[in-house]
Amino acid sequence: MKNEITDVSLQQQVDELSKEMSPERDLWPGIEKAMAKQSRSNVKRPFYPVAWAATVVVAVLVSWLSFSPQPGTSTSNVDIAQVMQQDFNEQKQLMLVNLGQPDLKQLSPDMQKQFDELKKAQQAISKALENDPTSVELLNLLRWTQKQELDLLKQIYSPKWQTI
Amino acid sequence: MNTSTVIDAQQLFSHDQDSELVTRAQQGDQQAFHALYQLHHKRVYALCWRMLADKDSAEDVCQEVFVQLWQKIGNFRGESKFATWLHSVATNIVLGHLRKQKNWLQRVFSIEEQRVEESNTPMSDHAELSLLDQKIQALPERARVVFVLFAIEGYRHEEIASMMKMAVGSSKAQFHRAKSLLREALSEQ
Repeated sequence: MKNEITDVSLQQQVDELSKEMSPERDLWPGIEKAMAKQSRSNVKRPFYPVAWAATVVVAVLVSWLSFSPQPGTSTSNVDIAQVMQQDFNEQKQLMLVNLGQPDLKQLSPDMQKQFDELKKAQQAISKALENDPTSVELLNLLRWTQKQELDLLKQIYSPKWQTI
Repeated sequence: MNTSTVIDAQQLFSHDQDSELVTRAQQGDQQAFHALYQLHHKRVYALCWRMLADKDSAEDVCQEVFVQLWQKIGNFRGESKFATWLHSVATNIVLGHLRKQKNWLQRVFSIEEQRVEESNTPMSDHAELSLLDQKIQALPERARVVFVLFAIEGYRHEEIASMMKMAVGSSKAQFHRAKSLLREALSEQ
């Protein structure tokens, strides 16, 4: 025999459903393991070489600035650098939007340090270019630091499927 | 003191408790994050279980939600309640899992055609479930997901349509389909 169910009685049954359920197995150990794995791979391996390399860039540029000739008449590479910097800023903004606009101020001090080093390197390169506007090497260095910054952002914020 | 005052007070307490734990977890405090897990995992698991209709997948995806939460918790800016934000993160992860899970065979021979009475969801998963939960698990996938999101989780059809990349009308149609299948299934008991 059929027992007719109305929308109202269906809704009543829905309202009575439990909002919580307990998983059969303890899920926390797997989560903890994945978190530890993330910390190891995110903090130790990828970031330190970036900071080291950016520091080297700054050191090389300080010497460059000290011994480089006075600015000439050509400003073409300075213009290119400005365009590159604009492109880079747009790419970075686009990437941040795609990654859900994370708050960069919430980064750990270690990660923050990596970004600061890259920023310093970019500023030093731009300054060096003003003194040596024909240098292609400086443009390449600038491109390299910008790429490192984008790679770093991607590494930190891209969602990863973890095998637990 | 009436019941609604008690509920309001409980919600306020849990909101404050979340805020403190979230701030600590954002600073890398794993104990605080564990406390957040303890407070919220059962609700997240219920969402995963109801949407995926499979215990093992629900457990795996629930783990994935908290692993991703650890990565993304810095993005939470307190503009909504933490629980609301967590549920939207969880919902998106579950939907992403469902999309990945579908292989070409399922796309060709749509599982939408699977009917309540043909469901092969193992009954061992249903041991302690209410009758309604058992029937929800047996719904075709899209109807089930829309029903869970609309009727149980309280999303609007516009939100569901956007999350599931479907028209608002399709979300409404799937909901009506789910309701009539459920009414039919429950009437036969």
